[in-house]
Amino acid sequence: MNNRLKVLRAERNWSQADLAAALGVSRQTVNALETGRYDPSLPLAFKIARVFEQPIESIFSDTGA
Amino acid sequence: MTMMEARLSERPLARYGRVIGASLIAGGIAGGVAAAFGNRAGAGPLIVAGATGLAMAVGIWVCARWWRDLDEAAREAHKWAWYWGSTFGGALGGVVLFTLAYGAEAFLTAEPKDLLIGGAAIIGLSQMVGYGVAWAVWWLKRR
Repeated sequence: MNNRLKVLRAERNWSQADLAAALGVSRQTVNALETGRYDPSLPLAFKIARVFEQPIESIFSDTGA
Repeated sequence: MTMMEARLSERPLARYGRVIGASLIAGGIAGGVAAAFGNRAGAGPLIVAGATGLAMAVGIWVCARWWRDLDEAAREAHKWAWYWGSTFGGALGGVVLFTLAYGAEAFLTAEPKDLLIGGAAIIGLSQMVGYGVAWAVWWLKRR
């Protein structure tokens, strides 16, 4: 699964630690999400969408689709 | 940023180290009690059972508190490490155990209690090593 987390974070001048704090996860988890090597659970994906104030489908895209 | 929340899973290695440390201290105290009272007739085994049970309860309580504050990726890493690392580690420990059991003369004269605890320690240690390696692999693959 691809995502635009790194772009969205950069647009807001947030560090990984800032985003981690907003999501309530570790910086390592944010890094794993941004590299696309860890797919978030549905609750975390919704939380990410709320933090960036965007719909989930504009943040995540299914590479298999 | 307005949605600042309590930071979970900060410094995971340090937190993990504290869990392991607390468990080792509890286990060490239980081991000390077992060494001091285990061979006494009568209440000795009961004292060992009580001390060991208390140590296990402390270890589980510490682990439960630690687990509650982990985020989902950290939990996934531990679940993966528990399954794959402990399985491979245990399998490797089994090879060592059977090789020692049939290949080392010294084991033929060892006390049954020492054999029992030694065998369990070999498997447990192997699983812990496998767990640690698998946990590190999970995170390294996601850097």
